[in-house]
Amino acid sequence: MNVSEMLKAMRFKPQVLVTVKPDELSSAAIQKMADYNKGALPVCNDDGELIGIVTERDILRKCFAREGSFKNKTVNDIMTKKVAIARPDDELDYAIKTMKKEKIRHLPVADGKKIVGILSMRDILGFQYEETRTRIRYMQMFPRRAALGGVATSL
Amino acid sequence: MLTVSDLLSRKGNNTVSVHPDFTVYQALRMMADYDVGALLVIENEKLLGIFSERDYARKVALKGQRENNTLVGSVMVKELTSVAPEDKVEYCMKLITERRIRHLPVLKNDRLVGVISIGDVVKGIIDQQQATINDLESYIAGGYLSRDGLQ
Repeated sequence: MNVSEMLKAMRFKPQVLVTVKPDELSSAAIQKMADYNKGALPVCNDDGELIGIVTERDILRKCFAREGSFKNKTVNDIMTKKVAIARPDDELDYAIKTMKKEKIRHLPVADGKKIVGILSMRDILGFQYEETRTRIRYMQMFPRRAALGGVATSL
Repeated sequence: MLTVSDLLSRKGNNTVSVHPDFTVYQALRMMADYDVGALLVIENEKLLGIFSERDYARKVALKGQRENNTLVGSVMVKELTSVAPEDKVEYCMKLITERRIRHLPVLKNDRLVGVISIGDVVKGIIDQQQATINDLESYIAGGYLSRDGLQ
């Protein structure tokens, strides 16, 4: 299963792609995160190209350094510019490994420079789990190919 | 079936905690120093609540509260969702997804013995999934079902 297949399968959950512009105030970004209940927002330029990401962790680590001054900081000041991404045809396993390796919880999905979606660790957790439970239930239905007399173990 | 205590044995049972009278500023410093996304709030060895990055963003930063004047005890989440060591990992997944939380304190007889994060659960599920599928594939191919794979 690849990333774009997963994004399509997630249509059951209404997905709104919420982004911010680099020149918006960081307080506006925090408000947007609260309004849409997101932990991270991709940062896009006017052409819809991904140029960074701003997360709750960025707010924490970078805003409090000088107390009270985050009000004047823009998204551009606090965002992470080197953003890890996935391509639509990347395998889901690759997406998960990337999140674990980079210690991130959100992975924007980009087609070239344009953002097409964003995956969160929670999305993957919920989806992968359902998929595995179904697969295991299905495999449990198969009889053993080699009949070993008398032994009929069930899982 | 993977349990919470299996996850803890892989990651350890260290927890990072603060007193409710810590300021938010001190809490943020600790989160940065320990590179964690949430702190357990403990007083007299009793777990009172949890304070996460999200709580900071929505209750302090967004509301224009000052980090030096706000105490963790006033912005922490008191309605805790916790798990026990014998709980199954699937149960953790259910809680994380449905309640939209990222950290689960682990309590054994009301005593804090560790904390499980969404990242710990994802890693555990993936490891378990792979092991189970390996086992089942060898079972279908005619081998004996065992923990160690094809015999």
